[in-house]
Amino acid sequence: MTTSTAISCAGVSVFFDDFRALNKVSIDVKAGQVVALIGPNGAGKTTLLNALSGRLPQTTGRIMLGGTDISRVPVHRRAAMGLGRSFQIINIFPEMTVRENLRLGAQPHKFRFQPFWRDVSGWRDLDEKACAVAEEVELTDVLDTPAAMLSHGRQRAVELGLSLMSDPSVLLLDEPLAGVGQAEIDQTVALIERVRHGRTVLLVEHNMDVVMNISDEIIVMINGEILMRGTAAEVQADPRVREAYLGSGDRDA
Amino acid sequence: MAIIVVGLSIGMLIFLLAAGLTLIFGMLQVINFAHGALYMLGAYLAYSVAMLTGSFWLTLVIVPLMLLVLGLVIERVTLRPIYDADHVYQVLITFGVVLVIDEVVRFFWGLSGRQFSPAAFLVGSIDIFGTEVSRYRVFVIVVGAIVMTALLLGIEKSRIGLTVKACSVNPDMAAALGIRVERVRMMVFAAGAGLAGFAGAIAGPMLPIQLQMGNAILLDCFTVIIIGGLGNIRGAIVAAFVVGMSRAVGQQWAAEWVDVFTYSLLVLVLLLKPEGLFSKKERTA
Amino acid sequence: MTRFWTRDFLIALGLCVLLLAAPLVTRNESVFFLLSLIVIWSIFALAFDFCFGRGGILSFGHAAFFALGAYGYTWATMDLGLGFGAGLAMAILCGAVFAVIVGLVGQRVTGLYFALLTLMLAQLLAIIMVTRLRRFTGGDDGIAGVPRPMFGGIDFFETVNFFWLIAAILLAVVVTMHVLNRSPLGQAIAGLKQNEERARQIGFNTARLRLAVLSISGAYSGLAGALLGALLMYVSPQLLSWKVSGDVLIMALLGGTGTLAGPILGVTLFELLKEVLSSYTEYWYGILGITFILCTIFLPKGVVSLLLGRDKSR
Repeated sequence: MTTSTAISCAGVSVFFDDFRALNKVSIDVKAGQVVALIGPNGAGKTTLLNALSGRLPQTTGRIMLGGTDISRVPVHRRAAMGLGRSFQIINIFPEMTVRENLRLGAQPHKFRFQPFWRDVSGWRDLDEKACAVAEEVELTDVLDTPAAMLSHGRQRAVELGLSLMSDPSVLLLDEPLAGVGQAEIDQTVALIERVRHGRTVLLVEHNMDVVMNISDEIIVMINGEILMRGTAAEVQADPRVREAYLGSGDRDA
Repeated sequence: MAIIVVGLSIGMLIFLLAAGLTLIFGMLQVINFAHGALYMLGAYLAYSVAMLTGSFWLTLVIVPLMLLVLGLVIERVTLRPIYDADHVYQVLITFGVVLVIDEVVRFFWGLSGRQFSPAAFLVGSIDIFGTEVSRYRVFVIVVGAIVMTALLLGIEKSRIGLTVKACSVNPDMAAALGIRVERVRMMVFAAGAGLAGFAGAIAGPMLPIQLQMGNAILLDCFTVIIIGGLGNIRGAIVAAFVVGMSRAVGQQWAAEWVDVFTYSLLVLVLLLKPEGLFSKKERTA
Repeated sequence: MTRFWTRDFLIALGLCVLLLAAPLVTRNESVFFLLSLIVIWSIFALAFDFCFGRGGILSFGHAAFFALGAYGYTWATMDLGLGFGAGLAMAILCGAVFAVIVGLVGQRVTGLYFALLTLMLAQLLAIIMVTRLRRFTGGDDGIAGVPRPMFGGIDFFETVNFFWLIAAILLAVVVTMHVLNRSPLGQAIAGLKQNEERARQIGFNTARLRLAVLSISGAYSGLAGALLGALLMYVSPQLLSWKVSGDVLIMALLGGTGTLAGPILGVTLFELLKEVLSSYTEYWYGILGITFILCTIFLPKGVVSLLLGRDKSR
């Protein structure tokens, strides 16, 4: 495992009018690490992911992907540069089959100036890539099922698969377990365990058992700032974290 | 001075319509294309009611009530059945309503223009700061200002306003709190229609009543609600007067340039501040 | 997406063939005039639906592209003395360029805001063309004497011959659109419609995709406008009316959006209703309005959904 920084931000703030959703947050994630962002609702976790992925413009601060400054790079370019992301609410192409979803995911990256009118099913490398990822996220059996007809857990897999199509080096996962039934949680966790290989993962998650298990490090956020950073054991032992959760009257743990 | 009175009176008319449009949009997320047609229908009805009753004041009361009821019916028959469909379809169905109202008006009143007189003491002109201005236009401004104040108070201070706001911000939560969201939607649509009817009735003695009057003013209203910010009633007030004044100035000096001016203003707003000049940016997180 | 010969495509082709075969049944001039209108508006409705049904971009201003096509054809053939083909190219260019302008102006707005913007820009164009550019547009009077094509020694002033030509163009439009929809670009556009945010997140430049949708739709609209100009041998600012935008929208929705057969069926239904109703009553437009309302409520996917049934892969 290398120790170079995969993604980092320095002094990033996001203001909505006069409300500070993020206040001068700096984090860095080493290549190959799995880092979890936790904290009570409204702590700014999703806002941070949004700023990193480019969905929300930061008011101040700098964002680096590998050695490149991407502070002003638009979302689609960041994706092309190897920054993948999944969403808290399932965010896929509902009317397309799983295959069409995944194929579309590869298109911006695998498809350049070939004759654009040729039937999409004729692009072999798109299809191969789609099948490979489908295998990785265990969707091979439902390749030709419309995505809207799948169970929530499997839609999560499509969501994850879409994020993988661009061969991202860094994955931002926003509550990958949100809405996943108890029965499918283990499957989804196994999925995350599998896709983390060779990638850097930054995830927001409320399920503490899972967070403690899969993350190398945990960052605790509150009120748009970072409260502490440490291993699972350090976080569990820290009284400030307990207070942060209890103080907000919100016990997701 | 005369031009300011003309501008303000046009602005008031536009405001009455734009307020209804923006209220309906805030609640139903629907742009009501039928709003201009309702206004036109209001004007024709006002003509007939004024002819029948001979009372201008009675007309101002009856016509808005008629349109209010019609609004209830339109909402119930066309919009309600497709609440669950894509919002776009609800917008488009109001387009169908326009075609129907246009034909109804043509059927009952024909193609010729109409006009009717207001109460006797509103006829003629009065002297303000040394210039002669139409009494009726002054009356429109005063009445419009009263309605505007009532609307602002009603929306921002009253219980009803709060209920409507709750329903538009989060209909599911409002429903869980025991508010009958469907009924609120219907009432808001009807109130908008009633306002359009009122606007039509007071426009009657001021402007020629004709088939095209609805569409012409509807475009101005769209300009107003975009410049003011969709769903923003205070923005609508300011924008309505900007458009009203430019109409008045244009009629006087450069009719051809008025539309170019207002539409260019609109394009500029969309380029520079698409959420409307008077709206705060929405949080997206 | 698996089969090339989807049911929708086959129905659309069938409709084209039916139209092409019409001259075998009748030689009545007024019938051909009606059929020509159906063909031309079908192209326009398909163009509109490429924007709305495929790209998810609602527009109330398609009249602008349509009218610019008609005027572009007129300028190219009458003022520049170019031929029919160059005239069509000019029409396509005019429609596409204005569509790109609309797209650039509306870059930061979406949904209903964008739809209102298209309406306003079309109105603005109408005003400018009638008042400021009277020299080029003939003002309210319009321009008469718009030429029909001349080639191969065929007399295109004969309505039947002209009809055959435009029906063939409709067929070409249907085929090219089907190919386009199945191409990678078409898939990206489908992605844009279903989930713009996701499309951006997987690496599509959605702003550019929207421009692509608009320009393609504008180009086809311009083509339709040129053909209407040639059919009527007359262009006027009437083409710029918001009613034109409204009509095409009603047609596409009546027939069924997001399909190829739908817009053609919608146009046919619209024109036939108009033809039949207007001989009984002058209030046919109101009846059309009621039909439209009923269809939106009870047949939201249009008449074509009766034919496509539950065929998911249409």
